[in-house]
Amino acid sequence: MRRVLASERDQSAGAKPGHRRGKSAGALPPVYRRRHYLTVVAFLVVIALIGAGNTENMYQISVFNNALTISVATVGLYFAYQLGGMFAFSQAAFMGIGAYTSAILSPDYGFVFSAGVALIVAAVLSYGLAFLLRNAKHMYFAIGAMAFAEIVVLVLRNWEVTAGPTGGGNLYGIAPPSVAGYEFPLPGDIFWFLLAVLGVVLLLSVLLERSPLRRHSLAVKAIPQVTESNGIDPRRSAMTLFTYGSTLGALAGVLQAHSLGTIAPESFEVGVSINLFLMLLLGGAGSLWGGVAGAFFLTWLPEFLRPVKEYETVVYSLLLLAVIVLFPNGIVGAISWLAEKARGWTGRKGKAANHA
Amino acid sequence: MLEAKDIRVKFGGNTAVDGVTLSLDEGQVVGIVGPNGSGKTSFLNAICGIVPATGSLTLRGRQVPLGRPLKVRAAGLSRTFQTPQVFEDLTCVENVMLSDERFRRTGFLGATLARRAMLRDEHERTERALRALATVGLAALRDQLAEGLAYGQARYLEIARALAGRPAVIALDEPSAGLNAEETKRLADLLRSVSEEGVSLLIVDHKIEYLSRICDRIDVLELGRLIASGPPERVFKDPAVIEAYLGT
Amino acid sequence: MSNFVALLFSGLTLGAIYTLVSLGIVILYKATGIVNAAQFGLVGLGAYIAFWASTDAGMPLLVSYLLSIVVMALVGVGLERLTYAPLRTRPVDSVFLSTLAGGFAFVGLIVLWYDAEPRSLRSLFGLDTVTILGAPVPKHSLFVIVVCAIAVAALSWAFNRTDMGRQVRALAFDRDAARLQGIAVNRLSIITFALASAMAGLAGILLGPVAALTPEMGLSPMLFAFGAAIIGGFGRFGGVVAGAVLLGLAEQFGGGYISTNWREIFPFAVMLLIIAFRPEGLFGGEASARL
Repeated sequence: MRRVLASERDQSAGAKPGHRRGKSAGALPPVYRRRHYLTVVAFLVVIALIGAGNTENMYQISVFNNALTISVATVGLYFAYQLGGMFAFSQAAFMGIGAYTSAILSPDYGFVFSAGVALIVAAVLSYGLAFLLRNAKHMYFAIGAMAFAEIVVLVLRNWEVTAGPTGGGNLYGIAPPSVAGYEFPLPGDIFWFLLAVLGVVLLLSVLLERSPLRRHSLAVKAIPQVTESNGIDPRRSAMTLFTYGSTLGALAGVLQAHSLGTIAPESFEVGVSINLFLMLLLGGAGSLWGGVAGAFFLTWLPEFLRPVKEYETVVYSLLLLAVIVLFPNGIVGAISWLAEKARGWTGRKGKAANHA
Repeated sequence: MLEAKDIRVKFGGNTAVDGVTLSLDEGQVVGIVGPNGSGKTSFLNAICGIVPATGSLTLRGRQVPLGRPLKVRAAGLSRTFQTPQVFEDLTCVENVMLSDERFRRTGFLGATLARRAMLRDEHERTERALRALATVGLAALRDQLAEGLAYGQARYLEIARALAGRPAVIALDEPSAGLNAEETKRLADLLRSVSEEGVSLLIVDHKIEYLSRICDRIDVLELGRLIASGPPERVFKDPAVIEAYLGT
Repeated sequence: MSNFVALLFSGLTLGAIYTLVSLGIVILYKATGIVNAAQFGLVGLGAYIAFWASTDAGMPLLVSYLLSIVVMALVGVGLERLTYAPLRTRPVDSVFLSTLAGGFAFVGLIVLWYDAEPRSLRSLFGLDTVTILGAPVPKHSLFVIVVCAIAVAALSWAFNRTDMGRQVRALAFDRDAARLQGIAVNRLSIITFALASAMAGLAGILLGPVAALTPEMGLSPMLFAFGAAIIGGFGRFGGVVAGAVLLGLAEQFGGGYISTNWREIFPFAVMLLIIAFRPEGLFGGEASARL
């Protein structure tokens, strides 16, 4: 793995003139020169440091855990919506699919196996949904996704397998995660586990950004007919991204189930998907960091709103409206806009592509 | 190289293309002209698979189904559009890399498990893209976002993109639209040199001067039918052709 | 047999309610080009206003209903003034997302006003039933069906036979051309917003006695309303009504003969299949291409 990373860096900078014929021939597009890996590591280190100082505080660390879990879901939404161009109002439903599958299987089969099955189930279902709706235009896809989401919640509420008839779909006593003998019994321990998982997710997502998939998805989102004339199937590209994004959503659900210990169908309703959209748009839909930023921001916001909890829904919806109308680039967009300005002042030229 | 037989296109009640047959040899440059409404662009759209049509299409000796842009592209026909359709969020080199003819390992697996091979492919793609950009004279703008390009530059970028896939045939829809006389001359020289490398060109356009200069043959359409076909000097003096143009 | 009849009428009742919501969406779309996904919030708001008027303010039931409809019409006017200008230039997807968020804002307001506890709204006819072919059919159901039929007929007449209807149709076709012809574009926008909003409110009032009163009560009905609109090709009224009735019947018959807890699965499944395989609708509407 390290060899791949090193050779990637060298190749992108064209730093081995003797190795390849020609000086800058062979230098890759700008996206390969961005310091993605560094950013991921920096982020993980920062969160680790903050978290390490708080592991004793059960309450604070639980909030952190929530933020980490939801970040996985919003990163998934970034891939499904921003790159794939699909209104994934089904994201919360896939979280539910992941959560319940893992919760039901883990007492008998252990965490790792159950989580794996949950992800496979979600991948298959999301691919199927994307395939079923492959010809649906955006708004129609949105409605189809919502219909699917409602069906999923109905199943969770009423199926015997999810303790529907007996417990209304509420499941309790879900064991905390355990991997290869390592146990994570307390929220403080779970924190490290979640951080590691988020790290892997971010790494995987960065690998996708640094690949042809990125420019294919941007092109497909912009002018799908022209991409067809250039040999790229827009629907396949969108379906892959939707499947990946929804599977991440399922992973978030698995993490949620095992870190909270209980799950209920209400947590996976359509309204939750709208919240995820809000987080992504608020944080800045143009980059996968937007999802993370939005998730962290909106996981802390209820803490501040705690005294006026009733206002939560109103504030959220108005915030979403404001973001859509006024700040289409969100927090991350604002930051990168500032960074561009700063770069302009220091005289550095170059208008390289602005996606993190 | 390319053989289109009896292409018909209907929109609602209108017959835009009424049984047009034409063919292209390797390295040949054919211009399609005709007054407005003659069906030139519809014909182009038909063989590129963008509009539903009947008839038959053969590329590089193999039958290609109509109405399937992906298959047409895979068979070796690429095209440019009336207004340059470049992807503004991508850099110039990325725009061109998009149109490579090999799409191995451009998906999820390529980015993750097959990463070493994917990066090697990306290198080769970049090199090919840079060569195409150099051919059209845009090599210096390789890392600039396409949204900052001037109209003429976007036009050349589109041509570079069409070239990158090493097509057998490039279909160009009014490539000189929006260009002045000097720019049109440069465009014509570029197209001529591209054809000398073995790529056949099918050019739909109005400007007779440059077409006369670079085309081996001119086909004239009127009301969806082919009314004249031959070397430029002869065709443009054909009374039927002159009447078609004057009649509009 | 009596079971069948009972289910038939329940299905028609729901179909009628979905029709009202759906026609509101379709009319608004045709007149202004805006797809209003906030309807579900308006459905709830209408129901809660009637609840407040009849329970907390002690007004007679019919007066409460009428008051709610009037208030909802005014809310519609307010919505038009606030949201129409910024939204009309945006692409459909952005509008859909924005109005969806707006709908949740209304839900939030209801939660602020009351709370999320379920309540119930009385019907004008209480729990009285009438026996049809051996089945007890609530008078409320018949009331709903009649009201809806009248509404559909009135709207149909208004659209096809009156000057205003002609103007709205011209508006839907080409707004700027309509303005040049001297059609009062702004006034018509306000009227259609008010109408759509009032219809949503009416749907909520009629739905109240049938389902429980919760802030999010309008979400499923609105989804079904979109389904009905899609089945009807986002165009002809007849298609939309047929679609709404189809979904309502699917829900009730599925629920009655298979399982009542799972009843909503049937219309949702129908919707998924239609979107997947016949997004242009079952009745060949003309507007689906624009979306």
